[in-house]
Formats: sequence, C-alpha cells, structure tokens
Amino acid sequence: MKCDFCHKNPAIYLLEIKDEKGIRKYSLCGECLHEYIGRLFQIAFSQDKEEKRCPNCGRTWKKIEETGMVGCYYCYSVFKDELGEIIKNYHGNKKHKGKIPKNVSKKEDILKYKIELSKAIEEENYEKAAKLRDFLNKFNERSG
Amino acid sequence: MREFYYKYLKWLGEDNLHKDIILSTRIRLARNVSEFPFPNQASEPQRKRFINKVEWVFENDSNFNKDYDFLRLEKLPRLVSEVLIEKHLISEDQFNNLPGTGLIVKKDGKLSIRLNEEDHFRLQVLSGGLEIDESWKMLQSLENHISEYFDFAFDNSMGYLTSCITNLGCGLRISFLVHLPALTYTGKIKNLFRRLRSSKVLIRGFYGENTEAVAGFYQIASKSSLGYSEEELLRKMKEIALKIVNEEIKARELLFEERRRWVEDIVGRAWGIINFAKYVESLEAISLLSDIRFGIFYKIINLPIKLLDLLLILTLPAHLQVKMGREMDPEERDRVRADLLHDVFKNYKID
Repeated sequence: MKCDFCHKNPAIYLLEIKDEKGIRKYSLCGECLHEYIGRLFQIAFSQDKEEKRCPNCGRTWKKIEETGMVGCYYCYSVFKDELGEIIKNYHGNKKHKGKIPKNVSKKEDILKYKIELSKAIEEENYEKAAKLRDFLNKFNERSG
Repeated sequence: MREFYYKYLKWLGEDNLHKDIILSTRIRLARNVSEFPFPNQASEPQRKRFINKVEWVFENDSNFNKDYDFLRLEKLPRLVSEVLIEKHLISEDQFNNLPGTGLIVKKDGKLSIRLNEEDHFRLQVLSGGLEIDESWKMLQSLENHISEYFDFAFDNSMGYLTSCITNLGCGLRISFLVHLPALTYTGKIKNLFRRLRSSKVLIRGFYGENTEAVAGFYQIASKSSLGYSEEELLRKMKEIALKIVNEEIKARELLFEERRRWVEDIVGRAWGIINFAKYVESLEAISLLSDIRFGIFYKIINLPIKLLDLLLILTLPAHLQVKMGREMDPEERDRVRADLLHDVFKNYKID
C-alpha cells in the first residue's frame, strides 16, 4: 500500500485524526508522517504568538486573550509560558495546595510502588519485591 | 410551566445562623474532564457527547435518579430557563449559550450540577443563612460520586484546570448574599469594603450595578482558590462572613439608639407603599422588601423572615410570568406584583 500523502513510498504508519468532522484515517510513509508532525509543532510553537494554536482543540492564543477562556486541558501545557504570567498576576505566586483527584493520585501511587519495587530488586530483597509485584498486579487489575 | 413557580426553593426555609443578615450561602466546585475540550471550545457534537455521558450516569446510578431532575436547557421554554436563573440554579451565560447545556437539580434546590456551562461541571450547594460545614460535606460526597465516572483535568501546581484561569486551584468558591442596610444607609459600607477587598474578596451589588444603594443587598465571594486548601478557604470565608455580620449588627443597634424615628419612618413608608400601591416595579419591590426586612430585625413588623426572602424571588419578572402561565408586559407584571404583595401583607401588622 502506498502512502496517502505522497503516493510514492510504501505506507508504514496509520494516522487517525479525530475532530468535529469525525474520524479520518490515513496510511503514511515515515517521511510524510514526520513532516505532518513537524507542521503541527510549528503551529503549536510558532514564533508568531497570536497565531500559536493548541494542536488538541485548535484554540489560538489570540482567542484566549480575547475571551479570557482556555480551550482544553492541553492548552495549559501548550500556552504554559503565556498563561503563567496571567495566572501569577491574578492569583499571586501560588501553588495548588488542596485535594488531588483520584485519577491522579492513583497514578502517583503506582509510580511510588514501582520505585519501591526497583529499589527492593536492587537491594536483592526478593521477598519484599514479590509482595510489591503482587500488589501492583492487583492494582492494575482493579483499575483495569 | 406553573409548577416551576415554587419549585427548588425549599432550601430557602432553612434555619441557619445569622439569617437576618446572611440570606444565603453558596458553595461551588468547578471541575472539567480531560477527554473533552472545555464547553466554550467544544463543538456541538462534543458538548452533546459529554452531556449524554452524564445523562447515562444519571439514569443508571441509583444515587441520582430518585431525588433529582435532569434538565436539558434547550428543551425548556424560555421562561422556565429565566426562572432557573432567578432561582440561582443556572447563570445568564448558560442561558445564552449554545445547545448541549444542562442542569441536574435536587428536588429541594439545595444541590445542583450545571453541565457544560463555563466548565463541564459546576457543583453547587445553596443554604439559607450562614452554613458551610454541612454544605461542604454534601459537595464532597457529590464530587466523589462523579469522580467514579470521570477523570478530572488536573495539574500538580495549578490544581483543577478550568476554562477561566481565575478558577484554578481547588476550584472552590464560597459566596454569601448579604443584606447590609444599616452599613449602607450610614455610608460605613465603603470603609468595610475597602478592607475586604484587600483580603482578596469580591464584592458586588446583588441585583446588578448601581442597585446596592437602593437595596443594600451584596454578594461577597472568595476571589482565588489557588494556594489554599479547601478547609483553609472555607475557614477564611466563614471568618469574613462573621466579621461582616458583627459590623452590620453594631451599625443597626447604633442606628436604632440614635435615630429610632428615622428607622421607623423608612420601614413605615415601605409598609405604606406595599399596602396601597397599585403598580410595583421589580427593583422597587426589592428596595421595599429590603426596608421591610430591616424592620423585621427591629420587630417593627412581625413577619417571618423566610417568607420575606421567598418573596424576594417570587416577585421577580420571570417568576411572576410562570405563576400566571404566560408572558406579560412590564405594566401587567407590575400590577400582578402589587396584588401579590397586598395578598401576603394583609395578614400582617405593623407596630
């Protein structure tokens, strides 16, 4: 099968684009995929600040400035520097102190146990390692 | 449509602390899910997918469907949506918004969840008077419940991620609707508000700009929830509420000592207009009811404060129209409002 973009090289990647128009699938060669991803990044990290756009939801910095509204969860990473200033102006130089949602604390827990597991293996404490491994397996089953 | 007239107002009758000064306490949590763009950016199909998912949970989770209503705003008559705004259950923004917004509300109106408003979820608890601890417990259990089904958008340093950066942090906002006629009449309010603003509190006239001097109703709300734990913020706002209550009580007592006749005049005039006027405009009603409320504190008028607070909502324009089951022009509304006030007040006396 040939690449859907250049119609020359053999396709080795499958690209799925999900947006308001629905799901579109393309088979691409390595070269075209890299070019496509490169373009996305160019848009996201464009020098022209106003034209900078979130690759997930499509909101531009200009729109964020106009409406005072951020577009999605990922905008907070894409516009980290720009938003950082504004957040500091409104809230002061502060960090979150309250509750952590279950979906995040669960991930953090798993990470903590994984670190302990590798430590136990390093220390050749196999009994402890086996216990931790079993625990982690159960944890993964539960969160399925 | 008429059933919406009295609906969702039962919470207003609660007997919590300092009701003569704090009409209501509202606590709300803002939450978003990471898998959908925020409502203002999401396309109509995306917003509908989100609300369908919530509706599925609502239909299938036995904790919800008994005591709650699930309302899709685009399916409601315009007047009913306006009534929900007047009951503090949806915002004007949500009313003007595109399809796919909704409301889950407990039958007594106390607990509600706005869907696809500014954020995916806005959980709120309303209480009559000053009430924080119980409300917070309710809100937490509601949030825990929702988190069984949805992963919330979160960042370790910014906290819960929201459409507007002003709501970052624990996503908690505490606000009070307060009645401060003595501080307003004596002009002491300016000084109090200057001090409050420096401790990061938002203040505005409750019935829109420039109405504060008329009625003495204000909304006091926490400004930022970033850098505070939930408990810290709740404690801070409770202290502020108590400080406001103290100052208003002091001002009321002093006013009565020094200018008793003036106070009685204010209350008596309001009483006279309510009992004899044939047309009462909406803002005028708020101002009159404010003065009557002032008189209840001094026991000049013997009327239950709960009834008065109910009237403050039941005499609003959309409520009157829903009561009559049809749209009315302003003149007719003013007439119906005057009649309603007569009917209630004829059962009470002034000393």
